[in-house]
Amino acid sequence: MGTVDSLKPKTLQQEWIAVCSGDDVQGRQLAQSMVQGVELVVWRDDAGVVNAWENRCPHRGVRLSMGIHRGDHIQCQYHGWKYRSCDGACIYIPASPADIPPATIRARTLPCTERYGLVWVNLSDAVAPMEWPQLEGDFVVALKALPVGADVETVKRQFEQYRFVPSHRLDAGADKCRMEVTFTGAMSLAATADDRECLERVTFFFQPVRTNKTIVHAVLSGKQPLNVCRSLYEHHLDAMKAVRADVTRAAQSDLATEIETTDWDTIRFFEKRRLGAPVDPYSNPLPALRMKVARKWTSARDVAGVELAPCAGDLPSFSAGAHIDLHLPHGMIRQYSMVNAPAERERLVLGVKLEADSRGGSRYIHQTLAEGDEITVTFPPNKFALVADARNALLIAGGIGITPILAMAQELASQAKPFTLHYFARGEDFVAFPERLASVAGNTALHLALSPDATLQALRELLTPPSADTCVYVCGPGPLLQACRKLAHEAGWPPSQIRFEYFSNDTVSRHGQAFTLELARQKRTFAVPPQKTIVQVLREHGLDLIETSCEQGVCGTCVTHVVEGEPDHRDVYLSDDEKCSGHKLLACVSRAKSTKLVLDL
Amino acid sequence: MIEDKTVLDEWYALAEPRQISAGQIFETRLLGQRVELGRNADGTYLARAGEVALLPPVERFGMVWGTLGQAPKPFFHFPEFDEPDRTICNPGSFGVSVSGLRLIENFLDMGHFPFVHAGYLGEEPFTEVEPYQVRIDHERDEVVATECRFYQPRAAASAGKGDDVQYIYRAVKPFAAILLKTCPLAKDRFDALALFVQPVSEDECVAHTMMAYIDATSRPSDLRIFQQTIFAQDRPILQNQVPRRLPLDHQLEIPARVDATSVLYRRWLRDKGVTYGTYR
Repeated sequence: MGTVDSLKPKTLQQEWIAVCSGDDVQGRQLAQSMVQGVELVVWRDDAGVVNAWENRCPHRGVRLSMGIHRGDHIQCQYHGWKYRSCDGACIYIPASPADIPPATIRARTLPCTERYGLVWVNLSDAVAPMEWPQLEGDFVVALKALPVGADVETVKRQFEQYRFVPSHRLDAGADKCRMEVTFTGAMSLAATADDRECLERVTFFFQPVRTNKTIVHAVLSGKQPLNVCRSLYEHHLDAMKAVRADVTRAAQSDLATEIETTDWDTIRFFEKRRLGAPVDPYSNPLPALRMKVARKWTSARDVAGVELAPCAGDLPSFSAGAHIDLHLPHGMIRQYSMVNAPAERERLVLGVKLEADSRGGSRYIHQTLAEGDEITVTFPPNKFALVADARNALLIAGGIGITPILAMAQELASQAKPFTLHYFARGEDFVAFPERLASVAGNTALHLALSPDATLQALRELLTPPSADTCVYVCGPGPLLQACRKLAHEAGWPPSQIRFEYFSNDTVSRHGQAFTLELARQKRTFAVPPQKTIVQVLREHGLDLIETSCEQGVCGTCVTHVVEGEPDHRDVYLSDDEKCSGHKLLACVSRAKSTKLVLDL
Repeated sequence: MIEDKTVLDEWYALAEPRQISAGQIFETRLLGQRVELGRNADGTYLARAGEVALLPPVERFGMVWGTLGQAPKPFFHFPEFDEPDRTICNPGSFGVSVSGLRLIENFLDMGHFPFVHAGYLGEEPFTEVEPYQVRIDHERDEVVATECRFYQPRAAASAGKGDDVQYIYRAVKPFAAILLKTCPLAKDRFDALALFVQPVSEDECVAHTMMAYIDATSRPSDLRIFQQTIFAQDRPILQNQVPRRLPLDHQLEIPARVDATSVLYRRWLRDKGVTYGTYR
């Protein structure tokens, strides 16, 4: 075998560092690790992708390793915030279940990969591919790792004296062979057993945990199949312990100082790294699916039924009440709930209502989208799911709100659970998915062409009095949701027993009037349309003048001075006095009441 | 010596009266200093830090309070403590390896109820925190949060079933807070729970709590056990916060809209010039 000096990395920073074994992250374990005092949480998602993140929740700093691995995301155990695999983006904040978390909230990630039975991280920004040519093509098995209480240079020097018996000679009671060092890198060491018959190599990878602690990972490799038996692991572990004993003996002669790492090491390390541009929460690499329109038909007056089939592979699993994000041209993203019955898992069935004041989404789907067209779909978490232990379900749907409600009805029917479905529609020809409704006809009541007063009366009858073992699910237009909220509150329903589905796309209502934004110092003017914020408009023009953090009007980071104009405050940070004075506003959410707003930028 | 004068010139709960007997010395630590407390034959207290005599400690709200400062600010109001029909219960004091400011912030937070206190103060999927009001009471110099409510499966030792509970939160000092919650036995009144944090060092503290509840039926041991259970659930979370000291800016720790109380609490600390126990 040739030497691998050409592979020798120049600095520690560029090198991949082994942080744990593949076994440490099997099942749904969250492994803790540390490199040079920096704390990491290491985990493997259900799809096999490994992640290494700063071990700290970006919300209130609780160690993420104390959280729960939920398959494709981790959930912090303080407030239940969820962070997804790969980019660490926060995808769910339980305290605000209807809102989409801002893109600025992310776990801090490191490049991470899994090879040769070990999990590796890279501390640098410029990442070279992870590969040890000396191991490629060989039979490889990861041995048990061993912690050693000394700095990495001392440990590495000592491991040059490693001695072991090749796996095929273990049972024969052969003598240990001394290793011939064939490669040495900043964090690694490889040596071959001095036995012509079966050439085996042990490669050590040193993980510098702290200045007085190193973890030694080891990999056994050979050109021929290795004799993997229990005594193999024991043999190498004993051999490694023997070297460790030598290290300890040598260390005792020095006055080793205990270096205390503080939690600041972790924070300061990640503060120095560039976070990169905030990631659009919709651009998640894993669950995005390319789909094809398999069928499109008119389901009711102004409702198009759409069936989507995956272009390749299977659909991910989803539960009744769930919705998808449909990625339409021109950056439009629209949410639609699935109408699927539990057994229908080959295709997604959606109902899309043509909205009179459509911003273009539903109009595109009705008029332009055709069978055979391809479209990208992503799967956000389902926040409108059936409560598992509720005994009865009262389902209330208004108009196109029937879509998630019908999925729930079909689910409950298939499980023979008791439910009643009340569908409020403008008339017979506005009733969507009549064929599906027929399958749950026994539990369904249609309320057609009712006046607003009659609708209110019908809802009042449904919601009075409250019932302790019933859970109510409501989906429909704004006025219906508001009416139900009010009636439920008046009747005395505990809020926990009423679930509403919001079809809104906004985290914080960004609608207001359009206004002109003028930057006093830059001497530039912009038009701010109703659905965009000041920060968004500036960033779209390449002006990153305002620092943001929460982007929800909470933390005050984006406070900006107002020179002229009347602010329309949408935040919860400024005091009443500050708001009245009109001298500052939070640019991430607030707008203007006047037609012109001049900021001190 | 401590540079943070704001934090220095305050009274801090150090012990229960029964822990300090005449003729004995009670040792503790406050703001990084070793403090010795004693009691005279006439019942009054004395305290010293090393060779330096400190202001004589006082009894208030069921605890003995001491200070390292020469001009500590006045005590806060805690009217519920003196109401005659209340059960006063001290569920105990517990050491925690984290900055005391983190304890106060945790005490003011509802979002963690369904996760840390599942089955007691909250339950999934009832996780939504509805909007509430929070402001600074400039007259008293307190952070006050009102109109807070949360669904709780078992809100107190006296509660038989789940219910929506109303909360009022008061951060009365940087290291002290009081919460009021609807009493299951008297719907128009509030049970009161106070947290008096003793900052032992910048990242260690002792949590002293005091309950002033309307509850003639529960045994004191039940009240204590309930409160200790809740505290035991918070402790591992608190001791695993990184950094241990409270960051006052919002770059390191990003709040959500429902964190309005904690955002105002951090802003209030910053405006007061508090640095002890903060990450800087």
